[in-house]
Amino acid sequence: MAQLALGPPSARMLAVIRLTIRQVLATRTTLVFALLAALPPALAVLFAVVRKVPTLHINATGFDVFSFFMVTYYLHVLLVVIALFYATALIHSEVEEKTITYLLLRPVPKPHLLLAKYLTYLMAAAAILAPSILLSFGVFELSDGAHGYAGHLRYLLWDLGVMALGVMAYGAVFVFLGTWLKRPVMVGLFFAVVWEWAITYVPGYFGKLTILHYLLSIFPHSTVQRGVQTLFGSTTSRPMAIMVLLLIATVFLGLAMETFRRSEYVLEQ
Amino acid sequence: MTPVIEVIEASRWYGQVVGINDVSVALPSGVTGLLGPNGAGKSTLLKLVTGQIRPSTGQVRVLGEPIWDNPPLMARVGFCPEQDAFYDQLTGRRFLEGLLGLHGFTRADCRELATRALEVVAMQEAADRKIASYSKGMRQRIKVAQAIAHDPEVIFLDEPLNGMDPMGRRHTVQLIREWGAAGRTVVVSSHVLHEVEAMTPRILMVNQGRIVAEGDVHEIRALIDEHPHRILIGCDQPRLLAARLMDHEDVLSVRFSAEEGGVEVATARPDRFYSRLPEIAETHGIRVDRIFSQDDNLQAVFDYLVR
Repeated sequence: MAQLALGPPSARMLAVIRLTIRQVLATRTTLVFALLAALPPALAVLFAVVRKVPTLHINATGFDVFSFFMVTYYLHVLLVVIALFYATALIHSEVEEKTITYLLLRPVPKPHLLLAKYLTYLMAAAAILAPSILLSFGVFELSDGAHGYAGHLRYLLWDLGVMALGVMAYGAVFVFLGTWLKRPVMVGLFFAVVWEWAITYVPGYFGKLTILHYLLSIFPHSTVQRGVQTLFGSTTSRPMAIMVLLLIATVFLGLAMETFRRSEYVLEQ
Repeated sequence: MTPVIEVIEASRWYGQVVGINDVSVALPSGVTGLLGPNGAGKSTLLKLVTGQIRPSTGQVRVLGEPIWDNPPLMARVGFCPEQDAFYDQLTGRRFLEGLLGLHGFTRADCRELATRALEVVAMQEAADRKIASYSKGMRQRIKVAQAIAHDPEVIFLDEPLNGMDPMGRRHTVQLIREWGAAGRTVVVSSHVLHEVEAMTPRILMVNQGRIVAEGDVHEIRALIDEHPHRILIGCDQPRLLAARLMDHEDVLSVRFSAEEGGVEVATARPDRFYSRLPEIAETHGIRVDRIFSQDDNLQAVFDYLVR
């Protein structure tokens, strides 16, 4: 029988991405994330309406509230939650659903398979976070009358950059946990809540062992953590923070690819 | 004949548990039935030859190459897993096209190959329905379709007839025979002897992690026939039948079976016994309503072979 010619590796990786996108879109997790991402724009609209009420004396500007949302909600909550649940599930859900066999018995090297899934995760996270941030920014700025719009645009670009680096770094760590552990979500949750949130605010150099420390180091808005860092002289420069975040993403993605390449997935019948 | 699949002194342990133990086997092209009771090690053997796991010791080669961590070789291999797992949100057609895409085929090629595979397993009509809505038999057929859609040289089918209706079973058995006749290498795992007998005379029997028999199923049947067989006969006059059967030297023992409502006979010559039974019944006016060979099942075969 004539052997059908294999397509190029890029075409095979694209096929993995297409298949993963269909899976991601079909999950309830995506619906929950979309609702969580819709919250800030909805609150921005509410803020714009409420500040027009003359009896309420609201001194905060729309940009102040946007900054607050960026720190407390996007950076500390939504980014970590999306990375945790999407990235750990990339391989783990295939194992849980017992569909991994269909992927592994194809001419796609395991590291390529994982890389394609990681790229899909980046796209999915960006598709949820970016519109939400852009919309919130737009509505908050409009509520201010868009006076300082041009000056604040710089902050928005930095915010998007910080979120992109956060998605990459957290995603790499969580995808590694997903390939390595049987219960990655539990360990990931511990990492996200106990390690990331608690350790970051411990004075001294401990904070440098967290991803959040580096994200906050390049964050354009003023934060409590930055104040604490400055007080104890444990700040990290922006170029260094960017390098460390890229390094974390690269190292953990590499570890995930190697772990996945070596792993056997013996499914229980 | 050059072996397509070679397992050379391979063992595989799961911690303290032995999956397979020092197995060496070489399979040529054509259909081979992999038989064994549940937990015998056939799933481990199948996982080894499909490269899902690597041997603890020894080697496993398919088409002359090691199968573990060899993605290009996967283009020449098709596998139908036993587990009933799918991307349920996809239609049957999208499922096939998605998996064909992993070979790097163009979208047009994926569509064409998927359509062809759906025709082969007679699933064209349900192709655009979501897999979640499929019956067990349809899910089984779509699993077979994904295993053959990319036209592989070697096909591994793990319990492919599970859950299929009689029509589906007959159709799938016919397909497997055709693939074997066309020069493909097909390995079919099953725990039902007569299912495999319908596909191929060549079988490989696994028990307790070892190959206990390899070769022609008829030879193995002959081997079984050398051992005493227990045959249960349901009839209207069990006492009379028992008395008459005892007159024959090939009958070793006779026992009344109250729960089964008949006579259980042990015979060293089942072929001769079966040819005489109608004559005995007719001569003495005994109405036989059923005959059941208690040894005509796989577990009994293994009991004989490992005794």
